[in-house]
Amino acid sequence: MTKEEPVVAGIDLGSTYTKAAVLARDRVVGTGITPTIVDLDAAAADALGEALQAAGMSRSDLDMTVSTGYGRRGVDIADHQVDEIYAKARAAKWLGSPWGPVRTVIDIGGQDSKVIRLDEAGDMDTFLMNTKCAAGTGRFLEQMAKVLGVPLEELGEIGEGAEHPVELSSTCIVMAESEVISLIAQRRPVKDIVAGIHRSVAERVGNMVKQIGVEEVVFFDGGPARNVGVKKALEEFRGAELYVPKNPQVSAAIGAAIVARDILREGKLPDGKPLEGIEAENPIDHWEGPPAGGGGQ
Amino acid sequence: MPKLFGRKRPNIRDAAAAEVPDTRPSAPRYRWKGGEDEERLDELSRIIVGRAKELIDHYQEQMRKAPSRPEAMAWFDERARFLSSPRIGEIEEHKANGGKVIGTMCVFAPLELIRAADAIPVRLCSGLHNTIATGEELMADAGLCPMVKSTLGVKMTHASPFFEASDAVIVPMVCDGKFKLGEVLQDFMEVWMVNVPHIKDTQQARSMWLDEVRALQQQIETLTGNRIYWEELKREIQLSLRAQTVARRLYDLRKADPPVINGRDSLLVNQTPHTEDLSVWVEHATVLAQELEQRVRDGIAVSDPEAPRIMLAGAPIMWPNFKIPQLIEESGGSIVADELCSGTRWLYDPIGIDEWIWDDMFQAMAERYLQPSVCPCFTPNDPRIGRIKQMIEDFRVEGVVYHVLRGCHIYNGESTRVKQSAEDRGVPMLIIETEYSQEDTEQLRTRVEAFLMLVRARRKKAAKAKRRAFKTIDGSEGGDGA
Repeated sequence: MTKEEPVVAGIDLGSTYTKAAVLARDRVVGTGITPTIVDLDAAAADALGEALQAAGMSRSDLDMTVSTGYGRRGVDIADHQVDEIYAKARAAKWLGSPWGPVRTVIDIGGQDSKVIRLDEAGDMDTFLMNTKCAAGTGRFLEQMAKVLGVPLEELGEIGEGAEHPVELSSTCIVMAESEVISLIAQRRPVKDIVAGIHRSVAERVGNMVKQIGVEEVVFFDGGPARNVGVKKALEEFRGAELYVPKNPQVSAAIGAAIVARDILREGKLPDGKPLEGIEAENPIDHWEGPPAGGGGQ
Repeated sequence: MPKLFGRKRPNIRDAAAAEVPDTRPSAPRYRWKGGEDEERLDELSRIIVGRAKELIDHYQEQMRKAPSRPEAMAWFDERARFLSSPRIGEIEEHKANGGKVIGTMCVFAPLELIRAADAIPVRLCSGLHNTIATGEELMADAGLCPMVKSTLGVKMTHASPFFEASDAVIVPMVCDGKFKLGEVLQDFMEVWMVNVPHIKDTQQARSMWLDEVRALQQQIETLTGNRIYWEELKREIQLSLRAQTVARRLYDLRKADPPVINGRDSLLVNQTPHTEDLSVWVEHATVLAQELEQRVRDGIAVSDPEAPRIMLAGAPIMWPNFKIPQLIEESGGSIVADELCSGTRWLYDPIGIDEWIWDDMFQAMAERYLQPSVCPCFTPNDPRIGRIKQMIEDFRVEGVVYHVLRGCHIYNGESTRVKQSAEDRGVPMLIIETEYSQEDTEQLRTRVEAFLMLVRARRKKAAKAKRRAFKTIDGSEGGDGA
């Protein structure tokens, strides 16, 4: 393998799952996914090991590894870190969609949700992220599934065909929980409750989309994108069809791997700082502080 | 001149003395069980002070990491050390000699009047997280802004020597939080509530505000036993003008590209006069300004000259809680401007004196606190939008970070409008909602890092567009550059 075709890996340490992706010859050759545990290094090693195994490779084959997600700064195996908003934007551009270039990314994560708008060139133009609140996140769906006693994976289908979706007045996890319990006590059909839950998530995220302005193609990403109920509710709310990538959970990891490839190609980090050991093109990138005698303590 | 306006001449204000409101309770309004356990309070106070010291150590260490920090910052560092600051001793000495200390909140207390009566003004707005739980024992509103509960908690636990030294505190009625805070505080100390008109551009608002300031003057005079005369007021207005001049000078220096001072240092410099003797501050701020001016001439940057130029806007950020500015600057941004009431807004507006006669002086001094203020407690608040737009231009701001404290509805309420007007100028804005605890740093880091990435991408795009435009005009095939 020549230097032009490096083997790179991305690890996304999310609040719920740790995901890894290995890229070679500009293709995803392996992915891995494991629950995030307290020992972030172990979680990262697990996910990466799984991805490498799928690719039939070992760690020594990797030219560079970039981590992303909340736990990105807590792992030693990564050479660099990148924030997941940038990683997502990068992944959406690279993955694209069969309907044309992606212009809007809706991502519902375990703990947060974000909307990213890309410009014509596919670069990040602007983004919006939820406030410190679990409403409109994967954690909300997870908790609601638990209250209703249904598997998270089936939540999407259960809500289909609901005729009178309930209206949840609170979007706070704890408060919504007791609200759902009282709805169960009122013997409202589970179908209607689930549809109401999907709608509340869609409204929350849809409002962010509204603020930022939607442009097609819309790329719907993150674990909850696999939930058809949320997808449908969001489509109804926004009036635009959403494209869900084949493997929505690992796209941030793929994005991080793309960033690793970018770094190797361009010889500098995403923030423009030079990569150690590689000659940068721009002398200003070498700036490390003012000349000696400038003070400091 | 002195004969006409000097000590012996009764001031016109005597004829139109304002009424001092009697709001003090005859008995405590609240039952506070926790207040009876003095041992617990002592323990709490120790923990709070210890944590404050940790925060100070942490942020000062981070601020010193700048590759080329101005040497003149040393004095500000020393004075910012809370309990071990020499200022505590100075205030104790002042009190031992019978002097008074008057606490203030926000930016509405007429500091010139306080100083003219030989009292020391200290700003008491708190940035500490671990006093909030105590504050909530009497203000149990989970959705209320942390500053209000934190400030109350500081008084309840007797953790701050500045608060404890205060013989009275001036609380402006600007927002729901401050409003009720003043009421609760009356169980603990003398509180002077001040009505702040929310529509300020009318004749009735002006005259009401003038009367409010007159009432404050009476309260200050009664407390200190010193009458405020022409000479003292003139002296203090002149001192304020000197401070405002040097503050403007420092402010202008932040326009330098590359930046010659960090945003965190600037913020600290602006907050030092909250408790310091203003005349001493003027001396040190002047030394700092000279050093920075030399840096501009020598082209010495304090940080990466390519760092995105960020403006910090929104709810106040109080030392030692520098979570947000620290995060922005350690993620590679450079805060070149702020419009915080705990930052440049504090000393931004000069007092406009026409003639040095009592009425003019008094009116100009009082109005300075009301008319130019762009606190979102006023409506309509177009001047704030205008000022932010102007700052974006003057400081070549590339991105705005808008700080919202959860529960601070007035700042949050204006955020959409500020965002839209920034975007009209092609400048993106990030709204950060947070509280006082340090635990959400990593969540915020994701947002801040992505935002800085966005700002860099926009800069690149703008440069490309410029080159393209140049090529079209030129007709030649210029290289695309690096």
